[in-house]
Amino acid sequence: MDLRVTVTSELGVALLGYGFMGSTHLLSWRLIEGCKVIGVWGRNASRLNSFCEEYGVEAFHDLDKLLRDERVDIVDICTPTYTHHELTVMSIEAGKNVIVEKPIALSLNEADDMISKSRRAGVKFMVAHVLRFFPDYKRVKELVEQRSIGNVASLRAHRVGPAPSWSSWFLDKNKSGGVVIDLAIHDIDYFVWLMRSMPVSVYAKVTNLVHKDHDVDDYALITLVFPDGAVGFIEASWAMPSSFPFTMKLEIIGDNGMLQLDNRLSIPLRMWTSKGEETFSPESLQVRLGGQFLPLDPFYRELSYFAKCVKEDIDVEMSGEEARKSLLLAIAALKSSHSNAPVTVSG
Amino acid sequence: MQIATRAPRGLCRTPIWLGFMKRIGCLPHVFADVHKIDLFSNLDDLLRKVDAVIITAENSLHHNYAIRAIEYGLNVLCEKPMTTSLTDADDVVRAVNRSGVKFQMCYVMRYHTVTRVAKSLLDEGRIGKVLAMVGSNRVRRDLPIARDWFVDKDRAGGGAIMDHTVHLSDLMRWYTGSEVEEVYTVSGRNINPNIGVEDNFSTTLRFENGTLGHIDGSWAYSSGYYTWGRCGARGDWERGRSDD
Repeated sequence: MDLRVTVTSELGVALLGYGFMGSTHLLSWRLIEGCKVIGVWGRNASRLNSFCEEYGVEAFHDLDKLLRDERVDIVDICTPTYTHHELTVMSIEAGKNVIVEKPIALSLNEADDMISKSRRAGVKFMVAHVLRFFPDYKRVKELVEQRSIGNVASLRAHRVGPAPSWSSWFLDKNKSGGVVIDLAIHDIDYFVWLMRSMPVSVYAKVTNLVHKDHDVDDYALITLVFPDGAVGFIEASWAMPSSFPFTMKLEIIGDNGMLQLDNRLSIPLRMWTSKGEETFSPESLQVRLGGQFLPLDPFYRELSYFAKCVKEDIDVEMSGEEARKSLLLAIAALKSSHSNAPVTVSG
Repeated sequence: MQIATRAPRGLCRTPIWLGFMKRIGCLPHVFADVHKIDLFSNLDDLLRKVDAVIITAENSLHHNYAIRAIEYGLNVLCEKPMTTSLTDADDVVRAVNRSGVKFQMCYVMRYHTVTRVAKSLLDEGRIGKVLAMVGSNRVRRDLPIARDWFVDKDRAGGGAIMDHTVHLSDLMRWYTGSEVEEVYTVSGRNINPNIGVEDNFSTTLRFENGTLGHIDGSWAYSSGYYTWGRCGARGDWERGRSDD
């Protein structure tokens, strides 16, 4: 994917949220040529002030004022999930293009409302499923598309670590949706993207293993069956000890070979086929741009992509409709766990 | 009473029964020659001479051999899976209980260094109560098809599910001291379309004590790579984890 942004005039960005994702996005926006962060809004005035002071950016205490600002072309929503719907709708109604952190929202009704309002307003709307912009995950997708391992028959993903320590809202089911809607949704979205199809059934066991003083699920085992009979398995955990490093593993088996990805290895990606073993170093996963390597940072690549879509009027691949699919499957997984039975997915 | 090309070292003086001579040609003779052991063409003749029997024949024969050995009052070490049906397994258990012989399954994973270390860490309470486990047994796709009976549903009792589940469910039962209460399994589209049994599956378990488990087994790996007996346990408030 060519991430160059054609510079005609500068794109203005309004950042909503000053948490972990807010700072991550802010630093990435600053590296993107032709984009400028106009200001940051957040609910808590003193936290907003200290964030903006630390990063040297203008604080907006009045959200309407920021959304009405003519310099703003893009609103980047990095606030907790339960606020996504309200802030997205407000931004769309102000005529702005919106990129919102994943998951799209907590309910399908909210997601549908966001999708239909963005369509009616004719603005660009993207959900930031960043895994699609990780160089190694992206390379797996390319290798599968090139039929390097043949038809995919088996997929497995592990996304395990301690609960997010940077903010407390994750451990509130009503704010984050819990480990399936917030964490497993990464791999759900990735599987749907890789397979180019929706699973036909979902089975899951979802539970609270260690956060007994919180009303939240922190562990999930999810099995997805695809229309061609391929089976995907996802383990997602916020239940690991705080000393345990965040771990993401992916294994894709095709009828002619297999791929393994492990973020804890110095060689993060390896492929085995009848031709032998092929390894992919971090360096080999970089994307070249005019003779220079782009930063590996997936957030930089994700935000650059959205800026390009806005600038050049390109349809967003990671659209609201696309994000709705993984939310629907996450909700199906929760239903399956509650009903102790596989859930058939229709539509 | 074994028909195998790899004999357990130290047991090489054990006579073996030449039961399959017609079926598998010269293999028993080669085996007996290599390991310098006697061949018997009549099972009863052999059973009258020994104290114990190791059953490593194809799965569908386990039941019959075990019952006959037990009838002679012989102790039995039996390869996995125990039998190819629960009825047969119950039959063996009843015969063992009636006769008082020793009967043990070859659940070899309990004897790996790493699984024993994991077991002792769990028993010492180093990660607290076990809350969840994920295990995988994935072997090369060409391994099972190297033995024809292995991919024959009647003789093996099934495919990858039968082959791998006995190992990992045993390991998980050993680790938790709890029995499985709920099972969900789905086997995916075969990676090898030319065999008549499933070659991959995903199984989710819930144990009586509430522990969750997952077993991922397949004969799907590309050559040169495999995992066997891999099991990670996720513990409770002390929140530890042992991997592999």
